[in-house]
Amino acid sequence: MKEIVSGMSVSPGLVSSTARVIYNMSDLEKVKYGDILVLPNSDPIYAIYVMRAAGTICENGGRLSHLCIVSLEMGIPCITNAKNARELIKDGENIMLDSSEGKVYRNG
Amino acid sequence: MANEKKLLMYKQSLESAWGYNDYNDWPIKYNSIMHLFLNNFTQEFLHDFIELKSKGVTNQDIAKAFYNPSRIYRIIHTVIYGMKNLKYSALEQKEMVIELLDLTALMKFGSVFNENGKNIILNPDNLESTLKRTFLKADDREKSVKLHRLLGILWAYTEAIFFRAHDVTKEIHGLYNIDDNSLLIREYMNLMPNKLWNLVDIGCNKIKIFTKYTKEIELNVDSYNHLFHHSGSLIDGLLEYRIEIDDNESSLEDLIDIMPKLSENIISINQWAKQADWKEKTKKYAEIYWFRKSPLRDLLGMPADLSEEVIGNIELGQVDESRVKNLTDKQIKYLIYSFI
Repeated sequence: MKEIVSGMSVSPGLVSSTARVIYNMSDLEKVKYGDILVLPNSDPIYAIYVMRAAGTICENGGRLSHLCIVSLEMGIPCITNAKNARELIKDGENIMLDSSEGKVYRNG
Repeated sequence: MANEKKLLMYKQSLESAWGYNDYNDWPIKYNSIMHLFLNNFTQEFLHDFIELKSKGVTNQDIAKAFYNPSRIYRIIHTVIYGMKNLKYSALEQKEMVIELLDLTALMKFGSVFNENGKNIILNPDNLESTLKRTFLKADDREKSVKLHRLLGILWAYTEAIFFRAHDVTKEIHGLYNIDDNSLLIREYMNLMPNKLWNLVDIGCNKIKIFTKYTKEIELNVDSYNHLFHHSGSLIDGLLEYRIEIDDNESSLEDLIDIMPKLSENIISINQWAKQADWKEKTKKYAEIYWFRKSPLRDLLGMPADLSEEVIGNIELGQVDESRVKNLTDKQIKYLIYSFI
C-alpha cells in the first residue's frame, strides 16, 4: 500500500472504501453510503452528507472546524489539514484511511 | 487559586483552543466584522453587569440566568477585546477576567479550566441519586450508529443557528465515572431562537442526551467545551444511552423524527448565507451576540435588541480586509499573551 497523503487525527479509526472527492455541492449528490469523503472544511450543510460517509478527509482547517467536530460526534474516522488531498486522491479510487495515524493509503 | 494563576491558566486555555487555528469563516470571517459591534457589545455588557450588581443581584443569580458555564467562559475574550478597544486599563481588564471566571466557577462542580480533561458540572458524589434515570441498552450497533449520526447533525444545527456563538445552545459535560464506565452528557438548549430566525418548528427547545461509554474510550473536554476523541470507537464503545426532549424521557425514534426538520433548517440557513451580503451577515452576527448576553438584560427587565447605533455602524461600516486572512500560530500566541 502506498501512502497518498497525511494529516492531523481528529477521530480515530481504520476504514477502507471508495474515495469521493468533493469540489462543489453537486458532487455531494454522488455520495453513496460508506464512501470516504475528501473535502474542504466548509459550511454546516456538508454535515448532512457526512452522515452517509464511512470516513472524512478534510483538506484544510483545524481540529475544531465544522466538519471535524461533526465527524467526531458521528463516530466517523476523520483527519484534517491533509494538504492537497483533493488533488492527490482520485475520485472513485479505493483507499484506506487510518485516522488514528493521520494517514491515507491507496489500496491494491 | 490565586488570581495571577487564574489569569495564566486562562491564557493557556486560549492557546489550546485557538492553537488549532480554526477557520471561522462561515458565514463570514468574524474577525473581519467584529469591530462594527464589539465596542457597543462590551459597553452594554459592562453597564448591565455593573447595574445588576448595584441592584443587589448576586453572581449566583447571574450564573443561573446564563445556565451553562461555556456561555460565560467563551464570552470572556470578547469582553476583554472590547475593553481593550475602549481603553480600559490592564488592571480593569484583569479584574473582569477574574470576575467572569469566578462566575463560571459557580456553574460547575469541577475546575473552571478542565485541567483533568473533564467538564464536571454535576457533583460526582451525588451522581447516582441525581441521575436516577433509566438508561437504554445500546445492544444493537445500528442504534449506536444512528444516535451518533444524530449527534453530528445536532452539532451542525447549533453552529448553523448561532454561528461561532454556539455555546448559547449547548454544553457537553462529563466524563463522569459511573458503574466503572464513562458518562458524557450533551445538553442542547435554545434550539428554536425565533427572534433570530424564521425556522421550521422542530417541536422542542431542549434536548439532553446521555451516553455511557466503556472506559476504554479516551475522550476529553477542554475549557472551551470542545470534545476531543483520542482512542476507541464511540459507536462500538457505547453501552447505554438516554434521551430527554424538553425534559421528557424520549426514544431514539422520537429524536429521529426531529432530524428532517433540523436538516431543513440547516439547509435554509445555508441558503440564506449564500444569498446574504456581508452587511446582512454582520447584522445577524450582532443579533446573535446580543442574544448571547441577553440574560443580563432579562434580569434587568430591559429589551435585548440591537441599538440603532449598532445598525448604523454596520450600514456605514466596512469589512476589515486586513483581518480576513487566518492568523499564523505565532500571531495567535502573540495575541493571547499580549491581550491581558
